[in-house]
Amino acid sequence: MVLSSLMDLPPAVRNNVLQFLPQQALINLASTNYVFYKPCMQRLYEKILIQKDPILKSDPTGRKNDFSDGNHTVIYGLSHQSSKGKVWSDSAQLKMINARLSVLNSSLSINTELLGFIREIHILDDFNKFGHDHAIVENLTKLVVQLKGYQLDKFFIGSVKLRKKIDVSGIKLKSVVVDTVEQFNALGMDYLPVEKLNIHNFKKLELESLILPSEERSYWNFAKEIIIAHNFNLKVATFKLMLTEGIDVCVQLVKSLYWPHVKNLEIILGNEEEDSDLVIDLLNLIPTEYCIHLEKLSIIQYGVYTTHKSNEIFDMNIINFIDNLVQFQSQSITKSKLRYISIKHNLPGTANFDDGFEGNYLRRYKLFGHVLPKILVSHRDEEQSKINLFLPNLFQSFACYDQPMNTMLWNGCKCQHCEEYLGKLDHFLMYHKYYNFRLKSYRDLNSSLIMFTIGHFLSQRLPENELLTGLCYLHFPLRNVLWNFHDNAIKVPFRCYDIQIVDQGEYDGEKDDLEEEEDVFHDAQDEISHCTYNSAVYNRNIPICISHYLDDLVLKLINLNRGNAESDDLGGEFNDGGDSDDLKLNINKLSLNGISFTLDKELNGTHFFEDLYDY
Amino acid sequence: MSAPKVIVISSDDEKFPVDPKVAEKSLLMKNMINDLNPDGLQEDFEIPTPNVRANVLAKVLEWCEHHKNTIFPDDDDDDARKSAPVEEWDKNFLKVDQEMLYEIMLAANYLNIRPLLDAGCKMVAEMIKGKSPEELRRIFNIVNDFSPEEEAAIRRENEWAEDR
Repeated sequence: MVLSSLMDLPPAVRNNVLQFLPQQALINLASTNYVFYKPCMQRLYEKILIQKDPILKSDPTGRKNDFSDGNHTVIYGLSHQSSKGKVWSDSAQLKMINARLSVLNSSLSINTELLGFIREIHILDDFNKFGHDHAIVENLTKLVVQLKGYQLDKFFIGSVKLRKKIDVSGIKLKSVVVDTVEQFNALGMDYLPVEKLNIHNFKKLELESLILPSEERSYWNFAKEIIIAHNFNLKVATFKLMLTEGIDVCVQLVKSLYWPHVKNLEIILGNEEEDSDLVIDLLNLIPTEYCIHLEKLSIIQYGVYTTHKSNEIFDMNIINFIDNLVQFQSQSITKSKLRYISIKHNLPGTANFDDGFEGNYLRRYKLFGHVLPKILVSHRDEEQSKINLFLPNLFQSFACYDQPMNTMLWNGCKCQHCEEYLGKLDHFLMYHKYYNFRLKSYRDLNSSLIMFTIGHFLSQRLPENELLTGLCYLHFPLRNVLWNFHDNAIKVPFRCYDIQIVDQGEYDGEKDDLEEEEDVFHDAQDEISHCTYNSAVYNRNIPICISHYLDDLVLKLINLNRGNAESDDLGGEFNDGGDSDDLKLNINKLSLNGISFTLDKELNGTHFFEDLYDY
Repeated sequence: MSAPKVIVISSDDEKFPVDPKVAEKSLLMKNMINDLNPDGLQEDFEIPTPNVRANVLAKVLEWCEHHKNTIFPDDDDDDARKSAPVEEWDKNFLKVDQEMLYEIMLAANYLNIRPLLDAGCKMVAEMIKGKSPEELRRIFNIVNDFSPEEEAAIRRENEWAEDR
């Protein structure tokens, strides 16, 4: 048989191609021939994601593309910028989302077969915070009504407020979010064997996954009253383990889990007391020798540590834990299974620790850029699946160190792009101030704060929801989140000034500052006027600068150092980036603060990497 | 005595002796080897592949040899499979004409070698991305069986998902 057309392939093979196609390609292919229509529609309607932002797309002409944009069909507003460079307002985006939802509802009502194709719907944004969400809620409610009686895997609404407005109880769901006992009871009509939320009925559920909220009181209320109080032996594959209570209670919760079953685990730990021994003790509770089937691990720092030292000790402890885990797994019969790791820090909104801007930056840099990757590959022989490593706010944590951020801003990458846009950031610093809550006044911006803010918005490329956990990052395409140069992590926007501002008094000692009672406005106006810094300047441009900064870290990680002909230091050790005895590259995707790198080998065995989205 | 081999036989009767580890990249062959040799492979074991021509089988086995030590994401882990770009070696290996690419995909499907099938599908997906329906028809030799009205109706139906 001569296979001269895509149409000649059997349906099973053709359909396998479709799973790697993004939404527009599915629509275009569906329009070519009836053979493709139905299978493309099945894919297009299978997983729908509704959010404000469009998704990032990999470079179609680039050397490497991933296929995450085929994971979901995304309902967003518009691409952020029009062809003429205008950035669309939130209001325009919302109108467009609403229009899209109306068309979706209309299509589903005309061609009801499409309803049966839907398996998952995720609504990740609380549209309320952008104002006038009424029409969107109305359209979402219509969608829910149309899906009544259908079996879906998920209809996930991330926001509590939105969940209150949209009742999904008429849909048969395999995975549900329950906010109240009443909701739980209402679910158990005909497809969940539950009448009341009690231990007897809870056991009947035979859950595969249990994700409790990250809010401490809610988590522990459930954990203590349902799991611990009844000596419940939880045989779940996915679990969120919060280790924030006293050690005795944590011991009981850990014992409630049947560990050999656990495949996906999120650990939240680290209270604000900064007792580093407690972190070790809590991590030691986890029976790593029984985690033989653990495939995905997410670690989240719960409290904000107020000093560099305590942050760095926390890092050492979790990396030590991962080292133990990987060692045990590699010695077990099943061999190492871990293939997804996410580590997320909890950082102070001001990028400032009590012990100043200086900590041991190099230690943190080395821990995450060298020690952790080395641990992940050194205990794993060639016959291991590749790891996906997510460090969602690593750059933001680096930004808490002042000196390296100064170096980056003023002596960093010298490519034409960075010269221009790091130059803009430098200029921006001179005309803006931030609000210091402690001093109750606006103060000069510094490189740490500006980079921290950029890191904050870059980290939002990954979905952040306590019920989705840090285990979900591969499941969703990356968001194209904009920054307008004025919003920030501390919620009080940066303030613009018409003239260059350098408040020398700030550098003469904080004692004087504390005595300052009045805001110093110089000659600036109270309101933002004609600031040239906006989302259009940020869009695509600033993330590329951060990506270039992170390139150095990735180069170290893949053992590639070919030297720099212009460098004074030519005596260093050059590496060709190939596998060595102590480094066999075994990482597929490396996501650093929302910047996504893929690692691979040239045909001659030399390692190389590609930034998938910031090019 | 040398270790027993698996002899894979193509539809045109060409024989390809390979190490069992290489043949076992194919789930179909792995199951046959294990089912018919419960005590392990004692002697050479022939497996006919009546659907695969010799030139295609040679390519497929070359891929299996290269990846004999590679562990791929589980078949059921869609997220991991989609997050993995086509490896550089595979990309180079699959730089063949469309007909050969389809035949490799077909063989990978028949022999149940999911990662090879995925790599082929990803190559085709990259060719599809960014093309209009008309371009797709031309590149992939697809006959248009829609009337202009039907084509317009499909666009209207799915307008909610169009990139803008």
